[in-house]
Amino acid sequence: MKTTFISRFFLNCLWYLIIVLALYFLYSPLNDNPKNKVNSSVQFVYQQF
Amino acid sequence: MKKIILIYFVPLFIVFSCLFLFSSKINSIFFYSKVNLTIDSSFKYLENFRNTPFYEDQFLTNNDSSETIFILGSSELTGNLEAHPFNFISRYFKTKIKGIGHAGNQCFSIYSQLLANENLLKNAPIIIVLSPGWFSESANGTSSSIFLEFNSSRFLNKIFQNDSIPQFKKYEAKRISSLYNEFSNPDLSIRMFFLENQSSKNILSKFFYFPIIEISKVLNTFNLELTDTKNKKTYIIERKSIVAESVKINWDSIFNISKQEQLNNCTNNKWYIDNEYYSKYTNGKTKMIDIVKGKNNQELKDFKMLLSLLKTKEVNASFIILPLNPYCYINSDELTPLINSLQNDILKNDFSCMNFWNTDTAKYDKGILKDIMHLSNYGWYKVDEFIIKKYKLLK
Repeated sequence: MKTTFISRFFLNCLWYLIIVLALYFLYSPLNDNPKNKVNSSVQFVYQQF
Repeated sequence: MKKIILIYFVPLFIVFSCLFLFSSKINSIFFYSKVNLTIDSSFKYLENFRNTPFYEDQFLTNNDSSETIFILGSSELTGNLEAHPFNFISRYFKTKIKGIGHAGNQCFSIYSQLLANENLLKNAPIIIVLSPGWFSESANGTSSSIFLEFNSSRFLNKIFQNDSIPQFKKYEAKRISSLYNEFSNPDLSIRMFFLENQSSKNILSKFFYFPIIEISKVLNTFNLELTDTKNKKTYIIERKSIVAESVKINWDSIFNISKQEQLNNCTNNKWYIDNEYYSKYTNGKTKMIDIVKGKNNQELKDFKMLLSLLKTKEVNASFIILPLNPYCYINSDELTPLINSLQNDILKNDFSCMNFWNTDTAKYDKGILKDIMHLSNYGWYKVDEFIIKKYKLLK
């Protein structure tokens, strides 16, 4: 039971880390690759208007 | 409940904390490795600013020991000829010349680059090379891709945040709006100019666009803080006086030798252009130049605004008007009134002008061009002589 709890905890940490890094990479304003359609997080917010 | 918090929320908190704490490390892994450009701090010529703040910050500045003259133009600056002013003059004089531009860098692109650095313009020695092709084949003005190549969002933000130049800012907004449909995924700075132009159309538009513009401004400020591209250089630099030097230059000998060298390269044609260019691109086929009159000539409007900016900011500017090969362009005399009007406008604003324009094959200075529109070494030496006289580099 305890092992499952600890493994779930670390597994979630890993999943969240992957997701957060992927989103950060895609939407960071520093990602100015011309192929990146979103271009920056601020623009992403702006484009929602 | 406690279990849910421990399994789901604590990992989330840890991940966000790590992202916040190690953001600079993460940025360096994700984004900065590609920005591995070798920066040449003593550059003589740049095709464009390479989207690098370092080169943008060097624009219109001088170095510790001497003044720097900037020569701005288009394709004629490429090719790294021995006689290019940034090679020839920089070699023999303390006053350095730096060239910026490549094909397509026309009046509006230059206007926008200068406007972004308007705090550096007073008395700045700037030479602008005007190509007749800008006012005929490319009379639609600077293309959107070239505009973006030379005018980063950093430059555009500097213009947008500057309220001391309303009439020039308005023209910038108008021209960016005219190019707006060509931009794919325009960034905030471009959008703001577009919105500003839309809002200036009437009171209703002003009312409608006001909140959108204000939100854009807030987002843009946020963006600038995130990307750390805020304009840090808003000071007015002190221009150095150009010191005249004693350099012996035998112009007659330079002209004779370089002219002969050029003529030696033109053995397969009577247009006095390089053999390789002649056989590869023209092969005796003459051309007709497009004549774009008055109202439809966007480049002419951009040129007039550029002149107005230079005059208002008291720039120590001069112009070079390039020729076209009269053997190739058989109707080039139809462009003469427009070229004359350019020259008149330049002189009316008290700027110097070296005009190479000539449509008469009998009076054509053979060997001045290496192809149908670009100066040879001989032609550039003539420009060097003009620059040295104009900016009093020689004692």
